[in-house]
Amino acid sequence: MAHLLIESTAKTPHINFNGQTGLFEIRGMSCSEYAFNFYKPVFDWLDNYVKNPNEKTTVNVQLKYFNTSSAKCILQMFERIGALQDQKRFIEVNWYYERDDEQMIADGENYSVLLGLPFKLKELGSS
Amino acid sequence: MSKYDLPVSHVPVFKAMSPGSILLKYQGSVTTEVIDSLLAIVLYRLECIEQNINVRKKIYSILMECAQNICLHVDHVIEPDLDTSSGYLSLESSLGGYQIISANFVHNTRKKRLTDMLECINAQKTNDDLKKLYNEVMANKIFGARGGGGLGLIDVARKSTGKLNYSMDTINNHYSFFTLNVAIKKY
Repeated sequence: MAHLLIESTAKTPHINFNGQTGLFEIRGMSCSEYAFNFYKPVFDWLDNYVKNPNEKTTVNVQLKYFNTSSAKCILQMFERIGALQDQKRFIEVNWYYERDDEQMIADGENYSVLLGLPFKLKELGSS
Repeated sequence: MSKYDLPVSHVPVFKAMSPGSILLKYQGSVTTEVIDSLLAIVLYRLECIEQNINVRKKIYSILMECAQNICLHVDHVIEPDLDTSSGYLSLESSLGGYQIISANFVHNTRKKRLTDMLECINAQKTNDDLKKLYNEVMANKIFGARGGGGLGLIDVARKSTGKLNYSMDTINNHYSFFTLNVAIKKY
């Protein structure tokens, strides 16, 4: 399956989803007021990916800021990825945060609970 | 003359440039491009002046939601004696924290929905209640025609101090004037 590669802008994140390896990366700012328009191609790509997924999918999320419009889209994105659990596929989510960033930690924990999907919370710069 | 020997007319400018004062004050036509520019300036200034990452991120997030909320409501229609495309956004710091004020015209057809939402948010008794409301709206998959997901004001309430302080004043048969005043404590 092809890559999904979207370059970052000042308010939209870098997206690099590799369908062959199952390594998904999203990083940067996600602050567009039209977040759904940005994430729609991501949803479409994931809808195809889940039809023939890898045994293991790793999702690395490293966002500096995300607005509430993006928060909804991130939930929808993870709902699609989380559906892989029903197919007995392994999902690893690494949710990165800056040192002392309590809100980003709380957001990661909240998504994890809402989705029933374990998130590994990882401080940036630590091994 | 002030104790700094400035001409009286320069004192307001000097005060505005002093620490613990205005970080942003904008009044004028609101477009996505204007908002993006203002937010970029504030992001840079906050990185310079606010060392606490949690306070910094709260301020930026709230300001962003307020700014994008203005964008949701501005109309580019001709109304006698009323510039419905204009809005107001300010960020000021003080010893104890920060204050964000946003203001804009709201078409009367959207007024009740907005005030109902604000009242619903202010009726939440605890942060856990706000979080529950936030999660309910986050999961509803509804987006407005102008991109809003209905979460912005809930998030502002979660990240600010106290209830949302707002006013909604009727201007004429078509428009009201909405002002939101948000406080963020440093400690």
